[in-house]
Parts: sequence; C-alpha cells; structure tokens
Amino acid sequence: MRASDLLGSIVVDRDDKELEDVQDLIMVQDGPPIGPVGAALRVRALLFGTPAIGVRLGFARRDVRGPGPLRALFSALHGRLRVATWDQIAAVEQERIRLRVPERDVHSDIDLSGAPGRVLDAGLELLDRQMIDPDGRMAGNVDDLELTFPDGGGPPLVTSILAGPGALSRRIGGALGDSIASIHERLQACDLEGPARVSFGVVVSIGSDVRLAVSRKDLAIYRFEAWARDTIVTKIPGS
Amino acid sequence: MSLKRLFEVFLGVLTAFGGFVDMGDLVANAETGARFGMGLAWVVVVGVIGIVIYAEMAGRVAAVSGRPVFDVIRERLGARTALVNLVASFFINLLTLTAEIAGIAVVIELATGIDYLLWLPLAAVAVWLVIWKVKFSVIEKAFGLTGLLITVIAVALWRIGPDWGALIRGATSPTIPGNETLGTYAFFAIALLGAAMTPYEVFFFSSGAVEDGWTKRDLNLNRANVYLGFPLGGLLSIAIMASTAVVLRPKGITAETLGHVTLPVALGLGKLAVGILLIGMFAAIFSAAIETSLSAGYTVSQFFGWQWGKYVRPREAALFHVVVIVAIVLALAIGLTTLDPVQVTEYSIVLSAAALPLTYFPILIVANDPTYMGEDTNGRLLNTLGFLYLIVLVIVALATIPLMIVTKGGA
Repeated sequence: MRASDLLGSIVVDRDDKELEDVQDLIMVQDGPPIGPVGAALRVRALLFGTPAIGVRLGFARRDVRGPGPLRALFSALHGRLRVATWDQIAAVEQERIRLRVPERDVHSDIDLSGAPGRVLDAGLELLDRQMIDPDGRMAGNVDDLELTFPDGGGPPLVTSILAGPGALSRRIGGALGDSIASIHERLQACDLEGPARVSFGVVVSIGSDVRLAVSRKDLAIYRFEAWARDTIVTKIPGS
Repeated sequence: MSLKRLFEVFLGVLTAFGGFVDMGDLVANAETGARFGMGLAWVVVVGVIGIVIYAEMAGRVAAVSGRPVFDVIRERLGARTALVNLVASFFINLLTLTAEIAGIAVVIELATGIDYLLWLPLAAVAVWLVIWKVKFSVIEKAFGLTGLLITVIAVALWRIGPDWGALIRGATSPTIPGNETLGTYAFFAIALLGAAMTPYEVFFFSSGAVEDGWTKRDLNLNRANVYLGFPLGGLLSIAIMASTAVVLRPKGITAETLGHVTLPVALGLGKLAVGILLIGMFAAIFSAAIETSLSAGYTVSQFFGWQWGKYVRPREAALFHVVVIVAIVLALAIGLTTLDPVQVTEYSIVLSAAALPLTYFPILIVANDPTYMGEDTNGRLLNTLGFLYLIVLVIVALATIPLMIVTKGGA
C-alpha cells in the first residue's frame, strides 16, 4: 500500500455513511527500530475533512502563524477536521476507508502529546521533501511512501520512500498521471519493477530535507541522471 | 563587521543594483516614459517595494532552511498543483529568456549595424558557454558590475537638464494623457509591475543563495542586497522612464525599439556615452539571459528533486544542465521566428505579472512556518505588507488577460 492510496480516499462509517476525504496521515515514530533514524514511523490516525488547501499549507495543525487574514480565511474554508484512529478502521478498500464505528464515535482531534515518539503529519512534513545523500548531493524527492502491515497486526509502517516518475504519477493522478506511469514503465530498465525505492532503513533524519545514509549513486532513482550524464553531458568538453 | 565582510556586502549591493535592470525593465520603462510621461512612475515604486519584500523572504527562507523557491512550492502545494505551477512558470520563463536573448542580439545590432537575427544563434551559444564554463560568483559579479554602466542614462538626463519640477509633478500627480485610455494605462501599469517583479528573479535569487552557500549568518547580506541594491535598481528604472519622457515624448516618438533607449544618451552626452550605455545594456541583458536559463533548470530540477546548481560540476548535475540547454534551444527557436523582440518582451512581462501569485504565495506561507524558519519567521509589519501585495497581485492576475484582449496588447 502507498500513502497516496490513503490520501484522498473517502472515509465511510459503520453504517455506510460517507464522511469526508482523508487529508493527511498522522504518524508516530514508535515502530520497531529500522535504521539510523531510529524507530519506524507508524500510521496512527487519518485526518479527514472537506478538501481544503489550508490543511496542505499547515494552517490546520502546525503553528504556521500568519498572516492573520490568511490564517482566518483558510481556517474558515477547511471547516471541521476530524480524526479516525487506526484502531477504528475496519478495512482499507479501493479509494474507501471503512470504519468499524459509527460517525458519533469519531473524534474531532487526537492528543498525541504523550506519544512515545516524534509525531509527524506525513503529507505536510515528509511527502515532497528533498532527499540529500551523505555527500550533500540531491537524490530525488519523497514522491510517495510505501506502507507495510506488520506480521503481528496493528497499524502499517513506513518501510520505503518511493521516488521518481513511477511514484509521482500516482500523486498527480488523472490521465496525465496515467501517461507518465506508462511512459516510465516502457523506458525503465527491465530489471526494475515499479517505482524507485529507498529503504526507510537508510534514512538518517527528517527535517526541511530528508538525509540519507547511502550515496545517490547506489539508488535506483539515480539511473535517469546517470543516463543523462553518460549519453549527453560527458560528451560535451569541460563537463 | 570586518572590513572584508563589509566589502563583500558592498559588492553584493552593487551587483544587485547592476543586475536589477533587464530587457523587460528597459522596454517597459522606456515605452511608458515616451507614452505616459512620468504618469506611471508610481508603479515602479510599488513594484520595487514588492520585489524587495518577497525577494528578502525568499532569500531568508533559502538561507535558513536551505530550500529554494520551487522546493517550497512543491512542498506546500503538493505534487499536482505544483506541476501546473511548473508548466506555467516554465513557459513564462521561456518567453522571458527569448526576450533576453533577442535583447542581446539587438544590442549587438545597435553596435554593429548587422541585423539582430544573425546574432541570435551566437547570443544563445554565448549564454550557454558562460553557464557551462564560468563560476557562479564570477558570472554574478562580472555582469552585475558591468551593468552599472547603464547609469549613464541618469547622467545624460542630468546633462540635458530637464524641468525637474515638472517631472516630479508628473510623477506625484499622475494623469492619463489625452491620447491614451484607461485600458492602455492599466495595461502598462501591469507591464511595469511584471518587469519589476518577474518570477525568475526570486527563483534565481533564492537558488543563488544556496549556490553561494548562504546560512543564517548571511541574513544581513541578504537584507543589504535587497533593501539597498533593488531600490537603487528601481531608481535607475525611473531614470530610464524620465529620459524618454523628456526627450522622446515631446516629439511624439513612442520608443518601440531598444534603439530608442539610446537616444536620450546620444542627445545629452554624445556618441562615446552611447557606446558605454550599449556595453552596460549588453551586460545587464546578458546576465538576465543567464539567470533565466538557470531558472529554467532550477525550477524543473527542484520540482523533481534532481541535483541542480553551478556549485557542482556539470556531470554531477546532468539533468539540470540538459534542461538549461533545452530551454536555450527552445528560446532561440522562438526568437528565430522573427517575432518582434520588444513585443515578446511585453508579453513576457505582462504574463509574468499574471503568474506572480503562483510564486509569491507559497513563499509567504513558508516564511511564516517555524518548522522551516525557527525564530526567523516574518514579523507583523512584513506579513501585513506581504498580504496586501498578495491581494494586489491576485487582482492584477485576474485583470491581465481581459486587459490584453481589450487593449490589443496595449496598442
């Protein structure tokens, strides 16, 4: 499952009542140890509500302060946001998240101040960020996240970062996303399948960029860059 | 502050000053001066304050968080909206690049008398060669400082000795001349705003901050560049406007070519000064061509997360350099269709004005986000101004296309 499978899906309660769309994934870093970053990220809850750009901009939950009028405008636009905790979810279907509880049991917020690890809104604080390798070179963006259900049950863990057009296509969606995906599939080296993966085990830190422990040259996402380097750029003197 | 640091700041300010004026500013200011006198000078002031506010924010975000503008656009708007933004920005930037490359060729035509179309391919190759071979800091300083030669226009204006009182009255109590309409007045107001606040300026400025390795310690350098360099550049823009207002307008000449910009200097100071002006114009437009070419690479690479920048060897940022080359080739192709360079410039700055909210809105948001900025978020005054400008820019964006149609491109 990918983060983009959850984002934008509609939340449906026990009585088949359609609530609103998933706006973000609330994650807590309290999974099993995974690498230099420490514990793995676990999806703790889904933030849902009417689609609104204010959520995406950080006005809804993070302490983006101003400008005041914009803050007021976007808060009014996104209306109410609600939270479905992972244990309230019965099933994840195609573009539908089915809850095991009725609408009245859904909370308006979740208190994670006592959480055993860092709390992070994946859409706001992890997706679309720049990855940087140990040499300080840029190694692609976090285009999507791969989520895996652990063997013993419980909420899914972030196991890989997905990067490159193969992952981006699904975020873009629509006919354009589909054509990007099919072009990517056709051009991609035959030994690879699906989008380029970066194991979450090589993530060192998550901030305004995502630092990795391995060189970009060892990642599948580097192949396009390497192709451009070898077929075009190094053919020009002085490269 | 050490003497070395002070010199660095001084040099930075001069570079920002000399690099402020480009093809768009030259065309827009000369043309409005000739057609409206000083009646639109206030727009230059509005535009310069706007670029000062937003360039400072973009530079500060880049210095503190290491994130240039298109990273920020992608992170705040998400993959989908950012892609729409990228397509629009790339297209407008391409038009701007076309205008700059054509501008270089026209300046050489003015100096040699040989048609600019012959110089276009040479200009394009020269721009690429400099990007390929020359160090970023050298490009910035060499062209920025040579661009200062354009100040010869201000000297010429002073030598001509116009009625200063009338000029100032024209600027402070603006009126629409009898042969113009409210539509054309508004159209050229938007053109001037677009010329002063062109999006590539913040793409380049913020990416340049990363290229130069700025950190929190460089915030003073950022402020000095923006608060001193840009307003000086704005003053120079107004001087260009005044020079055509004084020399061309009374004779009913409407400054439809770049050559008209040189007339006031020829009149006030003679042939040698025109030579100096042409060198200055060449440098200023050339540096803008480099900045727009790089901006094409910066925006695309930042959207996809590829390595970008001149601070690594081309082979380390291969896709970035490929995008730069593609942009230059496309701009050259558009230029070779013999579209009038001045008209291309006008369209590029007017469309730039329409696209400004796309670029400036995410900057305003992130400059307020403490997860990026720590304690260096915007203050209250800056937020108020930033917000007011955003409203103005949205109104301008909505008005631009209807105005283009109604006035038939300001004709």
